[in-house]
Amino acid sequence: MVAGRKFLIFSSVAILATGIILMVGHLYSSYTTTIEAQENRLREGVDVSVSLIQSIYGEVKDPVKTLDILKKGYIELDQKNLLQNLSSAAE
Amino acid sequence: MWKGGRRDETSINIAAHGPLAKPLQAALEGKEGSLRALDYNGREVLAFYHPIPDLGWGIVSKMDIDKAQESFFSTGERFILLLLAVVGCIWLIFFKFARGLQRELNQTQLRLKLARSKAENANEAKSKFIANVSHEIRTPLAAILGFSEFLVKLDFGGRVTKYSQRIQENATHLKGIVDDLLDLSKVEAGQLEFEAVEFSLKEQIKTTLSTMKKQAQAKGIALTSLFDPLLPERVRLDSKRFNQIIFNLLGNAIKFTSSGSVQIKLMIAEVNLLQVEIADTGCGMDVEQQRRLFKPFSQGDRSISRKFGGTGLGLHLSRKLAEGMGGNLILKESYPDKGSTFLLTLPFEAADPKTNNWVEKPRPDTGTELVLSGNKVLVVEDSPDLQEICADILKDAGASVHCVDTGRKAIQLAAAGNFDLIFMDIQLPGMSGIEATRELRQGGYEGPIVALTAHALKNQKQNFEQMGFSDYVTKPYDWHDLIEKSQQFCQKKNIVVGDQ
Repeated sequence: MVAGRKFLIFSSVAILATGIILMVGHLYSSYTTTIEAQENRLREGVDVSVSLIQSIYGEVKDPVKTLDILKKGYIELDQKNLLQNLSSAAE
Repeated sequence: MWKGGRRDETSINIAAHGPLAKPLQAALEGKEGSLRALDYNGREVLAFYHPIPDLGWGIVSKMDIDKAQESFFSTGERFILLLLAVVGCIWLIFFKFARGLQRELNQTQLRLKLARSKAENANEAKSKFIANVSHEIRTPLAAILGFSEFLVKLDFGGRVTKYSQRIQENATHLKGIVDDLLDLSKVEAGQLEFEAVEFSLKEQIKTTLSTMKKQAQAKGIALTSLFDPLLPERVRLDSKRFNQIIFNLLGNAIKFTSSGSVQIKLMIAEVNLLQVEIADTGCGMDVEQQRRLFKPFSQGDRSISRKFGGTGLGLHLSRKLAEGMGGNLILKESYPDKGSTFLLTLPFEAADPKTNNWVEKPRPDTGTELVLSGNKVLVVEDSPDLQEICADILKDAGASVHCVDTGRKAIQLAAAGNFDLIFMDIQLPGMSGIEATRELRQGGYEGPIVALTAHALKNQKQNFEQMGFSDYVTKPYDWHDLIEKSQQFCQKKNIVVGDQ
């Protein structure tokens, strides 16, 4: 009687614990994937920006002038419009 | 939003102390990666940093952390999180509750264990107390019975004899109650022993009926018996306990019947299974009374004990005895004002008719004959009354009797005197009867020593022989038993002496 009850409690706790571990694992994996996707988005934007800055610097060969050009384009912008603004500033 | 910086001392210094300091510094150091940081507005952001090697600059791109996590929380994961939280809460509550329950259960079990231990101790103490008290009561009771028997035998006539008989009857009744109490304490302690002996069922029942006939006749009740023709002549069963049960059932039947009859019927239900049915036309019982019937110290109801008396032990003890003998005792049927029928079922062994081990020995008439004339008997008994009774019985039979009250005195006297027989009480102050007998035997004493005991079962001769005794006699002293045993050992000695 006591052994049966102990087995029942032990198996329910084991099933519940396994379920919770699986759910927590799934949540962690899902969260990591989401954050990685956002990092990739940021990385893409940064790569474009770095390419542009290096292009400007390649043209003017002077960091101060490059900075001036960039300052002209230094406004609150989202990353999609950055290329266009930087191009305009460079011209 | 982006932020750039030049990789010189000033810019590194600014980067090290301003907002987004960590990602900026990492970028200026030529590293690439992402981390969480606070922006210019003090909000938590996800920042990605990257160096611009040609210029010695670094670039940081950031995104609000809420926005970065938005897609995660907008999906089914939110439900899972909620579910996890709920399950966690339930689990916590359940465990807290279960732990509380477990603690309570443990405490209850502990309390139960303690209570059980207390009850067992109390029961043991009660049984010991009953056994001790019964023994203490039996000693003076044995004296009352012995002296009243003397008075009856002396036959003064008139009221003296009548009163002596009454004293004897009441003392016998009281002895029955004490014996019942003692038996009950033995049953509860699991110490009750049963001993199968060979006897005639018919003879036993007839003897019991003749004993109870007077009681039934006084109430005008017919007491009848009916025997199955298949009933074996002799059986092996504990005759003492069987008789105790029958005596109790018949006694109850007569007690609770005011008119009509009481019948005892002996049948063979199966091979070696005896059924005894005792039916009366008495007051009967209702269902509630029947329910309480076999409980110890309880009768049908309180009015019964007031009207008829009794301890309420008889049926409980009878059932226990029947169960101890492998059988059972039940109330077959009972109807108020119509009567009751009890059914006793007992397994038995039929005695082999070819081997006639059972011989009905006629009891010697020891009332007037001087059968122990010329014999010297030593009585070792600490109770002065019982000593006197024992000595007087033997003296009446013609024996020369010496009495002592300790084992030590008995050893000294036995060594000095030439006794034909020694009666030795088991429970003596200081040195017990068993120790005294052992010392006598070790000292080379070879004469017969008969034990006097209040606790022995019948036919335990072998046990007593192992202790150095020749035989034993039970208390209260039975006149015939004492003389018969004395005769037996004194005759043996006389024969040996004669042969020489």
